[in-house]
Amino acid sequence: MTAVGATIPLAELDMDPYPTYDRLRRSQPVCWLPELKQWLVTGWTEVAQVLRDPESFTTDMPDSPMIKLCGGVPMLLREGADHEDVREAFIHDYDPHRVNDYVDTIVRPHAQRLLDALLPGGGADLLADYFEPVAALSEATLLGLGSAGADTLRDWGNNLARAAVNFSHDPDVDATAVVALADDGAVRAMLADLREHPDRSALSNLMHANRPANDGRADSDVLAMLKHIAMSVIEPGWLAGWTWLALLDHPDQLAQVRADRWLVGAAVYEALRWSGPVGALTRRTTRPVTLAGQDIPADALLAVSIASANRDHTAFHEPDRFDIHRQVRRHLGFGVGLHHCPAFAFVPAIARTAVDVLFDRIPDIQPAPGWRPAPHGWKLRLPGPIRMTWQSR
Amino acid sequence: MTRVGSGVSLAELAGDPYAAYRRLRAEQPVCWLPEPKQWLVTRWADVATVLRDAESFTTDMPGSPLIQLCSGVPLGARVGEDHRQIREAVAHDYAPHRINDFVDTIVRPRAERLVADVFPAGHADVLSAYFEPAALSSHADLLGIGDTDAARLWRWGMAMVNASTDFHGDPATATEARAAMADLDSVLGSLVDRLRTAPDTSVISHLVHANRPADDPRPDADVLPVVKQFAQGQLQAGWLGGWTLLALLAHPDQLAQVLADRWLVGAAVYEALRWSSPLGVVSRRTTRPVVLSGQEIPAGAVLAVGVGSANRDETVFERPDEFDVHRTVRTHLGFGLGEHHCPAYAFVPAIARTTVDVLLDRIPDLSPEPSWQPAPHGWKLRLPGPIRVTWRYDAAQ
Repeated sequence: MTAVGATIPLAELDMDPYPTYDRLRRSQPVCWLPELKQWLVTGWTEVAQVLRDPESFTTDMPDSPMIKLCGGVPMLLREGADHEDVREAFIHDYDPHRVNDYVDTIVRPHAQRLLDALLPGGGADLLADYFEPVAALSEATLLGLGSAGADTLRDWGNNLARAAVNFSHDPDVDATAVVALADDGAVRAMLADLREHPDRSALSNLMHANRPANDGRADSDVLAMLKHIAMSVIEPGWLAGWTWLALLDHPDQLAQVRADRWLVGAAVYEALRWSGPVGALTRRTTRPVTLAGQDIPADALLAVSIASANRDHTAFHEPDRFDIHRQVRRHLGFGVGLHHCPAFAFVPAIARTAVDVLFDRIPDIQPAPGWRPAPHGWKLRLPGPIRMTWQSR
Repeated sequence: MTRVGSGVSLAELAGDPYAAYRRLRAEQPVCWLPEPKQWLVTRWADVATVLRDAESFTTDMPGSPLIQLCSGVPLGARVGEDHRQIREAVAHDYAPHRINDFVDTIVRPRAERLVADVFPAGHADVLSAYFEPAALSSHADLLGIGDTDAARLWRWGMAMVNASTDFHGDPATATEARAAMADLDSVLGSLVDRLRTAPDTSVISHLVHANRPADDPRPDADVLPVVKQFAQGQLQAGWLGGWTLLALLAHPDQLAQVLADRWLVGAAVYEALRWSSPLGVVSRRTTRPVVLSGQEIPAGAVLAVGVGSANRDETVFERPDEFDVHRTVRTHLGFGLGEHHCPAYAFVPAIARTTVDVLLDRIPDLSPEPSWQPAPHGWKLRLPGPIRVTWRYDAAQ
């Protein structure tokens, strides 16, 4: 087993993974990360190959810390008929034909109310005070958890995210996450109620869809899946944040998008390619495989970098450039294959609406003096605080 | 070739295909239609099999009248790498992440203007005065021919609709189809010439240039027939809006719920697409002898694949003939399936949803004209017919 990747410290990936990815794609598209004991896959071809072949590269990872934290097996870590059953119960609430119902009746009203509250302050950290709450409130509403549920989901999600990237095994991070994820009394009460009184919420469908009336899926199953979904719930907020950061960094494109809202969705999708919040997906080999000439044994863990694939120069012209006018080809920001993001239409709609409403309501918005972007992470890549100011009103 | 069972006449299908489909699904799920010389496939399972198995059931139909109409091979009739490349050139313009850009900057403003135009009359056939022009003009904006008069867009589409559902060879229909296509050519010819040297962000420009070297754009034969098929397809988004309103007018309790809770509009549109798909049947050709629901079919046979029937299959949907906006919605076959499924599957319901939503906003008191009777018709393509509604307009307001 060659270990050239030993020269890649995780700290380097954490700060800005893209130069490293670029080097690896050219020299070693499948590389061993000793600190992590995982294989990092960076080439577009190899990433797509892994995601499209669930028989060789499974999401079934019995040792995943997510299972313990969530108290059961999340949807993403299920395979086969079991995965198909819960995915089918869940995905139709995220079908593209529902997107405009949600934007008009859920996302836009939440965004407007949040800005109503922020406007008098004259400034905010857009990520924590606006983008994340828009996403969490919208998803919580759709799930049927209401505004109080949004806070719970954000708390669970942020703790899961910190645990998922706790590569140094800091015991405090894990302990805090265990405590946060165990705080589920209110949601358990809701589930008990939904069991007796199904409604139209996504959570109710997750419990009841395609099951006989008195035989809904078990609380423990539904709760574990919901807890893991909590992490995805804030990702549309991160995507909106990345779109904003990218536009701030490219004032000419910011001016174009502001003047022509036809371009907002294009900017969101390009931000997802250029700096997707979900940087790497995890898979386990079910048998010995050879990937880009590299032999990998059975039962090895792979960090499958969709973020790197989305900057592969064999797939994209000038891949490091953020360009809303790019002749967009499909990228891997939502994954591909059986486990691709079921909310692929809703996520960009949330981000797009949050940015659009911000343009409408705060035309004079600008970066706070002294603020510097501080994005971080590679497995999950967060935009960091986005401090902006405006004339108080 | 066995031809058991009572069969079905085209006249019966054109009137109300659903009663015939129900009988056929039970008694003769793959049934020979002597008039168009096609096999009609009506069960969900068989329809899904056919659409998923592109090797046995191809869209490559060299004798298709559609190819003659389009003066070349449209996207829906292409196969393999050729199909993949052309589809890839335009599919991104219809990607789900563009839905809200499209709705906010194109569809809603178009719908608002059209409602404002019809409102003072106090009554209208909202299919021809609203749903069809809103859909046609919105999609024309995407194509890059948004300044074309809606009546002209309608003529192109209807000429193709009439020609492709003319099973009796009516000469007047064929003449009008040729004339309308010549008119479309006169618009497209100069546009495509211009786009060759000056690309823009329109669908037609992407059709010419996407994934091609700058000095080697696609030839006319790969562009014009594709756009001509779109000219017909873009009418269907208008019909879907019409079908949704028609279904709601027939179910006043559900109309009241949708009026009060716009969360339900998209659900109503998707249910209307199941309950009464504008595209009732798609065509395929067998590449080898096959057996479907026990029926042997020879190679080279043409199949009328009934997605409209499959969407009412009692083995898949409870109370399939009922329109129900609260249905726990499963995926249905309204947009087809497999590699030829509708590339605009996210945009079509967005157009229908937005037009219904704007209409309910602006004219919440609309009601059927007293003398009006719904007259839906067709089975291969199923049209809602005129939708005559009336509302209160006070000129003093």
